[in-house]
Amino acid sequence: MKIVYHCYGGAHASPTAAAIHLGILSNNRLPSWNDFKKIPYFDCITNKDHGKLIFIGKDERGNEVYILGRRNSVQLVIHIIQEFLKLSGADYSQYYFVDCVQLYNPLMVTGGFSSRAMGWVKLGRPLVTLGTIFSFPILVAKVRETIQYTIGK
Amino acid sequence: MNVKFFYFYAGFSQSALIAAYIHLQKLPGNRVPALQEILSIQEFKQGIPRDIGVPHFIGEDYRGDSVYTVAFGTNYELALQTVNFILEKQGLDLTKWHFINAGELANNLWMKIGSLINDIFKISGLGKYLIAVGIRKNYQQLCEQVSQFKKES
Repeated sequence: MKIVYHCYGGAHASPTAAAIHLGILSNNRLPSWNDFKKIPYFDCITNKDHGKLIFIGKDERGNEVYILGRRNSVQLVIHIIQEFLKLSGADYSQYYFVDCVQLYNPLMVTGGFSSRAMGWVKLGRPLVTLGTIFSFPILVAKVRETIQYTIGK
Repeated sequence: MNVKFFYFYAGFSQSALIAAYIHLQKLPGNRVPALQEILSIQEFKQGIPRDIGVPHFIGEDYRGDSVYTVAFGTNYELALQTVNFILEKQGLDLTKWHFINAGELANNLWMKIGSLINDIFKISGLGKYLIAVGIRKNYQQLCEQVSQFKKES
């Protein structure tokens, strides 16, 4: 399967979920500040990357793990990916989309916006990193559910 | 591989539908059709499914090229970015996939009022009648632009 973790900008929640899935981050303790440096694409994705599936790695069962930034247009982007894969003759049923948005986490929202949209990385990155630490248990639960689902497939 | 044409829209699915019908020569290119001709189009009467990002096949032209309408909403830059990414990823020839913003082809006050009456107040008959009046007002322009688009592609 191809597992796609997606969120608004594809820069924080989804790279963190992908890193948990691939074992880059341990799922039984909160990550340290330095652990975030190991997450591929963390706080790196920009507007021009939105709508693009970014490959992060393969898990132990051979599933491909991707991240995706789709702004507020969840249905639009997911439908386009599925429908245009279908039109081009590809097997779209292999794609499994997991929403990682943490809207109720103001540190992730304001930090992410400051760093990615405004370009205030020095201010935004620490905020969004702290926010991601707070959201980490939720992301771990989401990844566990996803792994359970893919095992059943 | 045959060419695929996509008339995309944000609000008025009818403008995309009419552009597709002109493209397919199901509506005349040399005169403005009567109101009844527009109102009797099956998809115009029933409405195109408005699942955002899902292409709706309208027909094949005399060259065997496929013509679709698709709702991209207001975020069409992101939609086009996503489509281009998927097509490139599949290794497809992008010159065979054409996208045109039908909302820019026909968008006048009659259509706006008609759409409002149709979508918000659910008075379908009156709403569609006003949209058809609006389409007739912009029809020549619509034909010229579709013709130009076909020549360029």
